[in-house]
Amino acid sequence: MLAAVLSATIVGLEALPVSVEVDAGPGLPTFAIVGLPDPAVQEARERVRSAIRNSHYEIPPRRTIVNLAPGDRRKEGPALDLPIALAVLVATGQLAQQAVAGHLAVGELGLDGSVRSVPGVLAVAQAARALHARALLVPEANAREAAAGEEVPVYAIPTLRAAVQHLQGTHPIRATEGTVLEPPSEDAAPDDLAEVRGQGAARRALEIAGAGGHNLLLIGPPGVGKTMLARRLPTILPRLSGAEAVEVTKIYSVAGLLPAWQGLITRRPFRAPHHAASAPAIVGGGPGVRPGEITLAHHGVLFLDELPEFRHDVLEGLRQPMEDGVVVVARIHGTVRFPARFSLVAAMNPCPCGYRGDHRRDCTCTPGRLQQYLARLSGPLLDRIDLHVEVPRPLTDEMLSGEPGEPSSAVRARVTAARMRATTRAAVCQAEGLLLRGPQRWGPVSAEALAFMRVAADRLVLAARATERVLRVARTIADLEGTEAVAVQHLAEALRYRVLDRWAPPVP
Amino acid sequence: MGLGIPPPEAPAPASGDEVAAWVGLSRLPGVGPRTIAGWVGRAGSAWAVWQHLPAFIQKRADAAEILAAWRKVDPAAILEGARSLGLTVLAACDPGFPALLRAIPDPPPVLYVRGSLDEAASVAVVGSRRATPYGLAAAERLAFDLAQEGVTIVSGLARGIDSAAHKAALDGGGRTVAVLGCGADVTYPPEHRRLALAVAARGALVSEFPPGTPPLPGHFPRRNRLISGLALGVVVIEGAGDSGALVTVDYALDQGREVFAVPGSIFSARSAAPHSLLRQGACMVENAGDILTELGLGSSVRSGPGGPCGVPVPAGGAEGAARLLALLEGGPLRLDELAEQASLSAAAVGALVTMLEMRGLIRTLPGQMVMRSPAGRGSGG
Ligand SMILES: Nc1ncnc2c1ncn2[C@@H]1O[C@H](COP(=O)(O)OP(=O)(O)O)[C@@H](O)[C@H]1O
Ligand SMILES: [Mg+2]
Repeated sequence: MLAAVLSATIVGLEALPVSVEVDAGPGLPTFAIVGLPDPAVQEARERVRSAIRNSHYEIPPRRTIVNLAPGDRRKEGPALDLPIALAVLVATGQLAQQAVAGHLAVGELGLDGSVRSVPGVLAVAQAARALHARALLVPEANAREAAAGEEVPVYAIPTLRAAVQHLQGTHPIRATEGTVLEPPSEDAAPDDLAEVRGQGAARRALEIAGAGGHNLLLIGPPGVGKTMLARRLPTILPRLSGAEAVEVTKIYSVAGLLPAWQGLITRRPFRAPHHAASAPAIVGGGPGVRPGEITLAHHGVLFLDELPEFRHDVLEGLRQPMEDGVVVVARIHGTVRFPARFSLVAAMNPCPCGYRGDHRRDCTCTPGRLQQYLARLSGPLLDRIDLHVEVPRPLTDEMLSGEPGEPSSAVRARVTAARMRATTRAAVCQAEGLLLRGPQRWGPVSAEALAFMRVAADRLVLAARATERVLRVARTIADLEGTEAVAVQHLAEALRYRVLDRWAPPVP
Repeated sequence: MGLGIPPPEAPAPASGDEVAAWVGLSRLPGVGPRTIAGWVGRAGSAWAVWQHLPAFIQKRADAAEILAAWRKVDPAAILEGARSLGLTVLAACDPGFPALLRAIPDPPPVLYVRGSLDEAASVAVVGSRRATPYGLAAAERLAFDLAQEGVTIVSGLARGIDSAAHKAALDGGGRTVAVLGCGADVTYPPEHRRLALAVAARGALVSEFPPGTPPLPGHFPRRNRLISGLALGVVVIEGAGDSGALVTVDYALDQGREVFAVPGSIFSARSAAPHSLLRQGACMVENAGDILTELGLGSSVRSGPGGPCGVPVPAGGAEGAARLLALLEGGPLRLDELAEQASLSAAAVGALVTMLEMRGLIRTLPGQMVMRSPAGRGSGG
């Protein structure tokens, strides 16, 4: 008898619908899986047979063929165990085909028939909705995640036997409640900007970075709070929207990084890969075609500590994704696109020994070594970092004695308002069909400010590209202030955040 | 003039070519300035010594080597080469040879000069090549103020304190002299090419080494005696315990020059040299007036630790800008401290600092250190 159960397999971030077909007919007793299964799927044979037996169903001695359609796409992981088992039961007359119709099932089976969690369930739920599936059967640990998008009714399945009894209607399971975006509870917030003492200039730069989506480079000696500041950027960015939260959750789920029982991820991610990490680990790809750190930082913050120590090919690999907001990873069958829209925060010492400009300790670097060190940064990545700011060692111990800084919530309110202003302006420009060029590309600039910019570019020997960055940052500063046209003081402040241009001025 | 390889019997430069003779003597191996000065004193002229050199050296163990050099050296060619490079060659006999330098125990037989030397009162400013922002600020302030009082600043064109002092002297509209450890036509360190040109235009690049001499480490202690020798006093700003600045100080004491030291931070190893000098009785310097008074040069510069010198209100007229300038009179501050002390936001201070910087009134150094630029300080009270 022929049976079919719907399921899905993960390709990149998306779930590809899979029809699990089983034919149990006369012939020598065999059990074969066809349709491009990977090794983990092949092993489903053993798990499925044991699980069925241990759930007190039978495997009659028939010639059993499992076909995974479409046959030209690779199926990965053990998520197909549950649908295979269900299809086998239908094919052997232990469950009615009618009972499984319109159901989509995923889950790994234990030998005892228990159903274990699998990655990518939120993506599966989206696929289920696209297929107009009636219901989705998922492992218990994944149920909150699957229900988070409120895509289709979700049933949390503890065991194979429970699944069968639910489908037969003998012991129906209650659908899992949808848990749409509950804001993270404040008391659980681990980091707050209030904890950072002093460092007014760096805090300000962080706020501008948040408001304008600018990338930021923090330059300072060890132990002055660079990592602290970077960690707190997610806490001053606007909260994730529902759609963004779903995207982030999907990524973590597919990567197998979503904790069991977790619903939606509601905090912006913060990723801090080590500088020795490989290009696939950071950019994505590699044997498993897994999302890299830049995708895990999607809608959040990617922190590269000790920027000059990162491998050249890694930094080179960041360039395109930073431009496009997606990364395209090659795979045996075609390519996979992972989203990668993140804010970059990088940190570095001011010189190889780390003590340049530090009053507590003398710098021992020769000018030659310093030049070499700074030269490692030059290049396309630096072009995409709008703000570079020094984080010096405070002269006094304000770190210990000073007032707590402003809390993240206050800064977030300003950042959110500034972003709304920028969005509105962009919308108005688009509606009025304005095609802006030159320095006014990002909004109006006062005549006085334009004149000032020319003088500044000249005096401070700024390259044309740097000038453009300064204008964009000035625009963000004006948005933070709520000012329509960029004025002189906005440009003057923006010019402060070009430290590296001053240290290594372009050759005239 | 046929001064190629002098024949053994009559190896003299053309009669009266005293300068060439000094050049020749300065190139003899193992023969130091004191020896040459002694010989010339006895013979009456360098030319006479050069002509009868074998007689002067016959008792020396290294006579053969000296004679070999004597036959090989072509003083006229060196002289000609130097002049074609635009250098002035001053022999110790020359009336243009600096009088102070001539009076030291071991004056250089010859000076190669790019630019011009005069007899104005000079002060040497020396210190660490890896100075801290504080040290650079001190060098700039003192050199600037001294230059404004008409004092020539002498230093070594090295990185750090030296170059800061030269630059500030130029900014202060004064003269400055750089004594080199290489040929006067060689720039070392290479990044100071522009500075060297500016110094030559408003003072002089000076070397006792002939053109083309590379900056060998052994040259620097020797040239330090010229730095102190050209000046009435030596100001030491920052230096480790084994700093080259202390070599200059040894020469200065030998030459009877005044020694000044600027106190530094107790956190910095670069304070070792000035502090040990202060302990030994060097004159402590807080401002240019201290130096001028000690040297009896008289001064219109007020005393007191770098007190407020008036606040030029920038063209923008911002009250905040004036406040920042006033705060910076007390010395360099970090951006954050400046904001706190001026009760201004980080945003406002950032904007003001850029504007003042563009007007040339202040400068920023690594570590977000903000300081008054010497040129930007008002001179009124
Ligand atoms: N500005 C600051 N305010 C409060 N604590 C700080 C500050 N800077 C450093 N610290 C303390 O020092 C530790 C190290 O700081 P960190 O951010 O790792 O420095 P960096 O990344 O600059 O080397 C922090 O965990 C914190 O305890
Ligand atoms: Mg750190």
